[in-house]
Amino acid sequence: MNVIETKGLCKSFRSPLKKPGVLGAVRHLFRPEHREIVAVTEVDLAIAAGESVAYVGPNGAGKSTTIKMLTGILLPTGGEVRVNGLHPYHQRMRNSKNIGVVFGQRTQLWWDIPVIESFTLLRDIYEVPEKTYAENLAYFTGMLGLAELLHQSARRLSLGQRMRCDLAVALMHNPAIVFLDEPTIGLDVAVKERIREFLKTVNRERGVTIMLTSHDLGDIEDVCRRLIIIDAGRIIYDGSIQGLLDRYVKQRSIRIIASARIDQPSAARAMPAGVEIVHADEREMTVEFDRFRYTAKDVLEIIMTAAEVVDFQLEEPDIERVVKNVYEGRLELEQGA
Amino acid sequence: MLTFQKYLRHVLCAIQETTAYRASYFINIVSQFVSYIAIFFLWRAVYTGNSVIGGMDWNDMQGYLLISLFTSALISGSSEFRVSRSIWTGNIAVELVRPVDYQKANFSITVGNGIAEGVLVAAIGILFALLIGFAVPPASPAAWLCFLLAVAFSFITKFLIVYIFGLFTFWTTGGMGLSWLRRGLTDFFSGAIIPLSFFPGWLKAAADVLPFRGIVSVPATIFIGRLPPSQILATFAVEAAWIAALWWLARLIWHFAMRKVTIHGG
Repeated sequence: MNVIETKGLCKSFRSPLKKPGVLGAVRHLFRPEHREIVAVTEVDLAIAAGESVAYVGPNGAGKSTTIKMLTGILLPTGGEVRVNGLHPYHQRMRNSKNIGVVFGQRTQLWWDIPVIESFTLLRDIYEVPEKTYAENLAYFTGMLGLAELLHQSARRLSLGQRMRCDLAVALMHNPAIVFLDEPTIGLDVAVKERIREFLKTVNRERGVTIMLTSHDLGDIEDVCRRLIIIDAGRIIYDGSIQGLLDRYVKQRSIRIIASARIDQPSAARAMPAGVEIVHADEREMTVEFDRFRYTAKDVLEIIMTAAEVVDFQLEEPDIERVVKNVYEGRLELEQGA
Repeated sequence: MLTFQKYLRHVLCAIQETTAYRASYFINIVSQFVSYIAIFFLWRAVYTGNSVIGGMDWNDMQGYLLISLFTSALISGSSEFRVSRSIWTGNIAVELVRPVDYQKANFSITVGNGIAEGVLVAAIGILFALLIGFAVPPASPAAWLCFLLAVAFSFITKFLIVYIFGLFTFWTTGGMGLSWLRRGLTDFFSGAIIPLSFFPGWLKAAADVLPFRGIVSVPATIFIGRLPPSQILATFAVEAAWIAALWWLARLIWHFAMRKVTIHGG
């Protein structure tokens, strides 16, 4: 059963178009011009209960806009959307009971009152039964180490402490889905680790569907099994992380160490098309090659004609590199498929 | 029942929030008094040599000013900017992913702030009244009841006007200019600066049909017994109609705002 489903989902905004300088600003005051900005276009999503999905893309790709449409904050300008069978915008109140949301840059906690009071407020807002609340509070307090934080006001918490509290808030009412918009932004490694563990556990033990956006590829690889990449408002990849590597990563590389000084010009001449020296030193060299044309053995043999190899290391493509390529617009989507 | 509980909890949290910082809590209230002391002495100067102005004697005027202070203090700066701040910072996103009605939640929070500040202001107000030797409270229990009802109407009316102006932030992004406009209109037409009975006929006629007079003029004139009992019921009816109209107007503006406008700050 799909808990999130969209078909041809679109969102465009009207944005003021100002000419540069004071004159432009003044002109805009009297004769405003606008242009249409397409944030999200033709997005089809089908996410089943219990999945953990990373929703990835460069800044401004449309990630947050999609999340805001799925959580009922923004009304789509086109297409269909269903979350737990409900329309998130038109049935906002009902939809919000089934979902939990964490915005990394914002908090659900009230600044000036103790955290536990914000929890109580949210308990009442979501009409969580007392028993469920007590169980969840104990569970989250243990897992996220909240015991010392509950009686402090949110204003006094560090970013990491606040985020742990916000995670508990988002899950207090046992939502079927939790949306996390950059939950680890600005956090240190230890806190990130703890949050990832927590997310994996609630996904596994409670069957909570997770959809998270992040720029931290560690979050993605660690927590999610499925990856959806959006760029310029369009979905350009939807599948497993391994599948992405298999399909889109053309290059592998070999790093070698030679026993004697490598003659660089002649080494360069020895490389056929599709094999390229990307880094060279006195007795060290890194070669990148098209893995659909050459095996590692082929490439090693070529290198051995130009250098006395004593040691080598094969570097596997990583997700970080692929996503970076996507961000820089260098990934040609249909290649190598 | 549960629905009521969630809004009640907003009220309770807001009370805690208002009193969380004792220093700013007291400064906030004292600052309102300081400006009123100035106005008090200004009017006393006006009344030297005149025993009755605009149908009010000095004793009436003191009661009027006291109630004007009290009703103004019920909704203070923090409530004024809550909506516009949450819109321009984009924090409104967080409030929209919860199963609460934004308007009711905001009203509940304003009630909480109002209770926390109102209690103290009322206490200081009574002290002030005793200090200046002024004592013309409503004569009968019925008059007290009408006065308290008028305060409730004042509170709701002012909340709705503040809230509606706050919502315009969706279009203007900044809340400052809107707040000045709101304040100017409210202070003038509610009778907070000058009692409405001092207005020239045509202006008073305008003020009488607008909702603003419910904020200061109605409770204050009921308190000093200058609103004829025969008119009280009709006045309340008009106020109730305004409250209903403003409540739905706010809903309508919200409806359009949400459709048209983006959430700031990603």
